Amino acid sequence: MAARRPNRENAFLYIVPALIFVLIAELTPVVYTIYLGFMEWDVINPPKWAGLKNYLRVFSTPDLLNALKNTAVWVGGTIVFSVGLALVIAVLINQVRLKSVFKAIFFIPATLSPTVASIFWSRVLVSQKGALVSIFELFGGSLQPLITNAKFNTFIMIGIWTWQYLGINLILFLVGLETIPQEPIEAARIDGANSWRLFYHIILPLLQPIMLLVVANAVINSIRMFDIPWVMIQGGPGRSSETLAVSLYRESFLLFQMGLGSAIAVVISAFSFLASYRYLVSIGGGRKR
Amino acid sequence: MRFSIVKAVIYCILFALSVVWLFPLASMFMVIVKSNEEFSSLPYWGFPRLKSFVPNLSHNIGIAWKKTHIGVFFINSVIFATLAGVGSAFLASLAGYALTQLKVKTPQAWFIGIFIGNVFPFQMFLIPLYLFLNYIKLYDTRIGLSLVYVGICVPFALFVYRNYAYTLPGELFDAAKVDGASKWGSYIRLFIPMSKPAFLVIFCFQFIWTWNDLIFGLVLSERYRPVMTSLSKLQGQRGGVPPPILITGAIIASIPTVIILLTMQKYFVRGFTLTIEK
Amino acid sequence: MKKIVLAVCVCVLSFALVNGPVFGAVKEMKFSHDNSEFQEFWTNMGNASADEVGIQAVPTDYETEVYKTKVKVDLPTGRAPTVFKWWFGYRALELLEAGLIADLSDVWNEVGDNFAPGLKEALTIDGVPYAIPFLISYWVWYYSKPVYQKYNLKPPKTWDEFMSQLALLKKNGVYGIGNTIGKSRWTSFIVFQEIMYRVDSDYYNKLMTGKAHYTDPQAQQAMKIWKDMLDKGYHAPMDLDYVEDIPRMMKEGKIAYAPFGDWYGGIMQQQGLVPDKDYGVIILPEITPKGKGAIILEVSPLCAGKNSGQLDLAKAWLKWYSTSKSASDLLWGLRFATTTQITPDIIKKDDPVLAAEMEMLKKYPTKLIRFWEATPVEIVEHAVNELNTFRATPGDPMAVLKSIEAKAKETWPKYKVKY
Repeated sequence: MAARRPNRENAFLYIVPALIFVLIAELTPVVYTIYLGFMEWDVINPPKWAGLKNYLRVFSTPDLLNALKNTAVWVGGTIVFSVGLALVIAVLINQVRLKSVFKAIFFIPATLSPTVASIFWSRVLVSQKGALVSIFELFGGSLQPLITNAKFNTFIMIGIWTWQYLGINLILFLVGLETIPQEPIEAARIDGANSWRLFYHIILPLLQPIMLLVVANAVINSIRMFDIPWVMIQGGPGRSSETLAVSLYRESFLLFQMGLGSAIAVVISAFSFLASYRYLVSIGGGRKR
Repeated sequence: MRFSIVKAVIYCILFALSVVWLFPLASMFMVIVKSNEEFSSLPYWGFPRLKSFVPNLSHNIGIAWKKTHIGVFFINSVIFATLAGVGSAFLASLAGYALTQLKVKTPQAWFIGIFIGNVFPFQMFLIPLYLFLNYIKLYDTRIGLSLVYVGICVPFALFVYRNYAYTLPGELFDAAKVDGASKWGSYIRLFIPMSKPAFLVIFCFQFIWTWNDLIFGLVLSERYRPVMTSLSKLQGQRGGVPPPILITGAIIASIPTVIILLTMQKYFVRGFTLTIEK
Repeated sequence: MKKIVLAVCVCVLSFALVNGPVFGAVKEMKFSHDNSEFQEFWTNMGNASADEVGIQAVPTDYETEVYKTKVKVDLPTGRAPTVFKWWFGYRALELLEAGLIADLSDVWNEVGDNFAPGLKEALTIDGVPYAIPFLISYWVWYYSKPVYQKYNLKPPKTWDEFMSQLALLKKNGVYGIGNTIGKSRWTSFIVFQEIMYRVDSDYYNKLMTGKAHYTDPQAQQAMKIWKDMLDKGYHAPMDLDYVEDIPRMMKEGKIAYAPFGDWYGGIMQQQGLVPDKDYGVIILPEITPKGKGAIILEVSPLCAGKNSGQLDLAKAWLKWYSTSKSASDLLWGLRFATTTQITPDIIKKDDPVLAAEMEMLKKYPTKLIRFWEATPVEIVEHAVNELNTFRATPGDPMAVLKSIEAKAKETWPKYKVKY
């Protein structure tokens, strides 16, 4: 048989279009940002070399360390609520009828833009003549200021974030539950395993690929989450509820320290990448055989 | 149909959670059926007269529409969101096909290379993209902004596409190759039809994401901005409209994404279920 | 698949059909601002200038933080905005020093009479007038007429009288002062500023220009007074928003006072309050004699980008803006009495509260610059954060002052001031 031409170059052509778009829209800005991280730039004057100063400042400034702490809280809260609760709801929905109705209820908030969601929440729900406050007043109580309370405003904001983000994870889990092979489950059921055992020892491991995707995505999105803490209280009061995403915005666009803002962005991305690395490499190259 | 306690408990839990999830949206209803005066004089959960629901709502819609000039922005957003959804799905299908069905040397590296941009906070892209679009003279054009949207949507599209394409049966493609099909032929006749669900899911997700974008449309264009930027005409530090009109405007801007979701959602799960015919 | 192809065709067709606007023989001038709620206003302004002098000002709005960045990125280049709204004082200083905004002396020489005396000086740094005013406002205290009527109150003539009023209101469950975080973190400096210059207005100026320290006794006294007010619960809940909640609650008689620039009247009226019936304006009395006769001034200016390549167009437009009746009418529509064309009679007819305020202002000749613009940005931003934490959870005032002082020590050398 005559030797075939190697497939490799032709295959590459299929990747090229995607690569070009991504190069322009994302990769070049990424390189630019990393470069800016080594500079000091206030936008109106030319950039000056700053070496590692900005990157070091990310880990030594108290305000930024506080932001790091808050970011960790956001990530943890997202995994527990947006992901954990989504899994629970997915399993529950799978057992009942009216699936589409429930799915729609949880997913509609995910279709709202952060702009619209923040209008709903800050203008109507949490504000003084708002839905929540008025309900409390109906029952004769009164609601303490929620968002300006440094002790728990982060949790309230994580609640708002969960309201929006859970739907996406829910859909992904439902898809996962439908596509896992049914034979092991049937076999285990025939063997008499109870629901909890079934779930913990059979279903959960089978869901691992989807779980990795959801968790990786959740970590990336929660580290990047900016709109809610910014719109609700601008990372305040003061800087107490600031997350690293808010810090980078503040340094770049409020204080015009583009270098420091860029360094924070690079640090955030490094965290995201490390956290999701396991997923990214877990699916081996090539197709299933 | 056997009735069980467990099922009842499950329904209760789901019902309770649904109420919590619906509460914010239900609250909006209380706002949009009132006029501005009624909103400030009535308590929040107080109802206006039943027969003034519809007139109030129409009045609010009219003013919100007029104040934001939302019509033009709608058209822009339709263009951007559709192009981003279709474009990114198409590009991801090509790359996904190559990474999973064709022999590529280091598929993981390519995937990570394409995906890596997505872990970055998007605010940092604003200045470089702004400078770049000005440099290639595509600033403030529909083409320029569309290119950016498609580019930003590709990584997640590939994320989903690869995950899905990985589960397609490789045997079918092997068989086609033995029968003499070219790579492009297999792509068109086998891969695309089989991956329709992934295509639809990506279109849905990316249409929604692009429709909901505020920041890129605000910075990278002046005359062709997407719909979310028009909402800021209704609120600001120097004044704004009272909640009835503001919320009505926000809801109008959100309707298309809800419709897209509700119509497309049946494809998600059904499509992802594999049936392998031998 | 067919559906998708159809959708793509529809899009391409729409692309082709919906074109950008086509302008006629008038010259287009780019105008940038950060108040989306004013986009219609500026569009009307641009149409008026097109009709009257053949210059169509095309406004583009941005969200404030993005706006500042975009303008700064563009100013050194040929993309510099031709005319744009900015801030005065230190926030304009950096642009002027970098040579990015134009000297408008020739414009002022021609149209200076259209503006109240003292404005040109407020918009001049090192002898260079760099802007034309858009919004001019003095910082006063709005009060709720329903509250005044219910508790038989009159404008306080001494600071102690003001304090007794607040105590009385607190006893009756009325919030004395509407100064909250809400969605506007920037408002945290207001009460500090108001108290500070009433203790010693000369010291306030020195503090702003780096000739006094935040740990000096005057500042300590001011912070102590404020802490006292916060501890006694005179402030309304921090969650309230000043655009909607505070006006509404003032009308309902739940909040008595709110300190703002007199542009707040426009917002009140937008929320349905009627001037003189629902709200009025007072200027608080001084705390010590050293604080007498001073008032805070805020000016929102329009600047011209030096590198825009359309500098002549900018100046011509600014001259039109300063002298045209249509422009003044449009400004008055927002209740901005920017030019002298809005006479006291007009003010009295449309906004009696503003007219009354203009009368009161005659007794306050010393004009001080608002904190936000009066001192370097780094100090302001840091102080705003610290004061926000303070008013949300009042702690040790000395700690706040020390923190701001540390920032000031770090910042002033950059501006070549020996601190």
